[in-house]
Amino acid sequence: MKISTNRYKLISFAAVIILLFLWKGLALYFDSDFILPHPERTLVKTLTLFGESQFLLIVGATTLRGVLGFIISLLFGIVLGIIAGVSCDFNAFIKPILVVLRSTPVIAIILLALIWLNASSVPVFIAILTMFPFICTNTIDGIRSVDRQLVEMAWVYKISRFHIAKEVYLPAIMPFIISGASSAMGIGWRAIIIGEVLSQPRYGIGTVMQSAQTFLNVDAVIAWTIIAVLLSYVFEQIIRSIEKRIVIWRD
Amino acid sequence: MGLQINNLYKSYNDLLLFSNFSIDFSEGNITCILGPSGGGKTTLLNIIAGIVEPDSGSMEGFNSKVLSYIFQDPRLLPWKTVRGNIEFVLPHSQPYSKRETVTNSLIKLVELDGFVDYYPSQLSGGMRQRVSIARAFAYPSDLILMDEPLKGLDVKLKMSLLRSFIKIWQGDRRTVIFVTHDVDEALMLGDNIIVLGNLPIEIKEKVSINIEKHKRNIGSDYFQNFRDELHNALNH
Repeated sequence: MKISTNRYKLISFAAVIILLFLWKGLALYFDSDFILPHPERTLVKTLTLFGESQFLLIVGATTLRGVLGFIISLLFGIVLGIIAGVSCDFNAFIKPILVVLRSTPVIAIILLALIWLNASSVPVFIAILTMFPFICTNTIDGIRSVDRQLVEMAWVYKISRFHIAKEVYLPAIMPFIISGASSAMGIGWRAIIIGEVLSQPRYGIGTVMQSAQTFLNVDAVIAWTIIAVLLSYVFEQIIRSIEKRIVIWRD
Repeated sequence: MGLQINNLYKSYNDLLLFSNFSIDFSEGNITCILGPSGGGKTTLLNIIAGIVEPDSGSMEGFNSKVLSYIFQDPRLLPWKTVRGNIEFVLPHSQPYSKRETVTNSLIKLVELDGFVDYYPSQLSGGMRQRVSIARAFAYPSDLILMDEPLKGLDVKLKMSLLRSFIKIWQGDRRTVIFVTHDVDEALMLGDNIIVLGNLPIEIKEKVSINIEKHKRNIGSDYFQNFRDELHNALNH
């Protein structure tokens, strides 16, 4: 087991190395920082970003939007998901809304949001509309998957409704919510940054990417991309660690 | 006195399970209900437990009874440990120290001392059913319903679980209604054994055994007579 995990890690590492070599090769071929800067120079650029005076402000603003959007989606997703999971009528009501939300192109929502909202709230709005359907759908599936036999057992032992909800339903839907949250985060960060690129709030990763692109600072565009990937990765890891702590009972 | 079901009617779709069926159970005893698999025995238990509504009929003595149920599947919460699963059913009106004492003593009785912090997925099928038995006895009930809890376990495991069950019951003689299709299980446990026939269900045979359960040798000639009698009733 140990050997094979190491083996897979090695293969993954090799993929990253190959990607970097490919990048280096293309950079040598184009030989222009306006088209594709060299990977080592981009890495240096990324590191210097950390030292910039407004770095924390920029990353902080994007993170705040992401977290805010995520929390709102989580709240609405879970509450509406539970109601839809329990009531077939409400499920029939919310189903088409979820389908529409999931299949609408993100860019269409952004274009409309640009008309309706101010620059700083557009990305949050986008985040909510893209993340909410994932969490809601998964919560519905979670409620549906609750083992009726366990509920019956709890009922026979005269467990109160509150405790049945807390100790039977909640733990059962938890893995579903977490996996929904994980997919939502993956999509959410991308949507927020697109939103920032187009709405140009004062601070935001998308904002600086857009201005870097305007001035053909390709290294800065890629460097900020790396920061965005790191941000997404950090949150993915946070969710994974929460999952490990909550679902220890799975073998 | 006693627990009675009178003039019970129950059908599912067009299938008539009970038609003017009456049965009574004596308290403080184990009554085994023997019958063919899938013959409405579980429905009878579910009617007693209040999970299934009868079409008509009256029940006497059950209202005032608190009951535990040992299901065919252990029905443990996968996210709770052995201890957590037993504590789950204990009334919150009891102080925690009391709940803890009760849980500990039952874990000991079902011989799972070393496994208190294990999750169900880490236990064998027999061990899970032990937890389910411990849960039923930990719960302050007057009546324990058992629906073929040993089905699917191998003979050795069955015997060891039955012996554990008898040991716990000797120290805590609650009324038990035990449903099974296995004659030997009934011979080991039953004070009264009731054989049910095919649909609509009727009582075909009733026997009483007045030997303490831990002293029974079901391989003896004495029990062979009962065994023949019960098999006869089951097959006709």
